[in-house]
Amino acid sequence: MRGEREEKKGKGDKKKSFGRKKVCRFCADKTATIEYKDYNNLKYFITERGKIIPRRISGNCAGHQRVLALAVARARSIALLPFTSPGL
Amino acid sequence: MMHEYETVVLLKPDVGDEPLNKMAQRIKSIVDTQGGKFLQLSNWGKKKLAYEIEKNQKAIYLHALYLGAPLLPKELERNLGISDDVLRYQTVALNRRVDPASREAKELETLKVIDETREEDIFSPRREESDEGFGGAGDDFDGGFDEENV
Repeated sequence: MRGEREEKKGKGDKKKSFGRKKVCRFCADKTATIEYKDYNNLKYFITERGKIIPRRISGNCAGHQRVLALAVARARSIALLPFTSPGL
Repeated sequence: MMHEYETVVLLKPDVGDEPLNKMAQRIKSIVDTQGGKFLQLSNWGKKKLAYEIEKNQKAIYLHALYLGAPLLPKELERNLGISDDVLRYQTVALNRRVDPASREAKELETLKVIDETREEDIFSPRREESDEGFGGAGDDFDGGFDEENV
C-alpha cells in the first residue's frame, strides 16, 4: 500500500493527521488518461448511486478532478454512466 | 481550418445490419460533402444503457472520427436529428488546427450488429475489484470529522 501513517503530533497541536496520505492517481501515474469513453475506469470515481466521489475522499488533485468531472458528464450524456441509479 | 472531432451516435437497438450501414455511409458522405476528412468509424456494438432512453434498454453505439471545419459537426448533428433511428448523439472537439496530412483515413467497413452484453452491471460497481480502491479512504473521511472536533 502506498503511503504510511503519519505520526501523530503532540497534544498542543490542533491539526491531527489521520490515515494514509492520499495521492492523486493521475498525477502518480502519468500514463493514465481520463477518457469519457473508458467508462469502466471512471466507475471507480462514482458511488453506487452514480454520484462523483469528492476529491477529499478519492484524493485526486483539483486539476484532474475537473477533467474527471467533465469525462463523467460526457459519459452520462451518452448513457455509459448513470445520472442516478434506481432503487437502493 | 480543419479541426478534429469525434461523434458518438446511439441507434435504436432494433435496427438491422442494413440501416446500420446506411447510417455509417450517411455520416461519411456528410463529412465528405462538407469538405471534411473522414478518418474512421467504429462499431461499439449493442450496449446496455445506464438509463432508459425513449423506453430502450439498449442501443447500438457508433463512433466516428473526422476532421472538418467548425460548421461540419453542426451539419452532421442536424442530419442525425432528422433520422428516426438515432436515439442520441454527442460530438466532442478533440484537437484544434489539425493538418489533414497528419491523419490517416481508414476505409469504411461494412458493419454488423454486434450483440454485446455488458460484462458488469453498471448499477452496482464491484468495489472489491479495485486493488487500490476507496475502501480504506473511508477511514480518512471519518478522521476528517475528528479533526474538527479536537
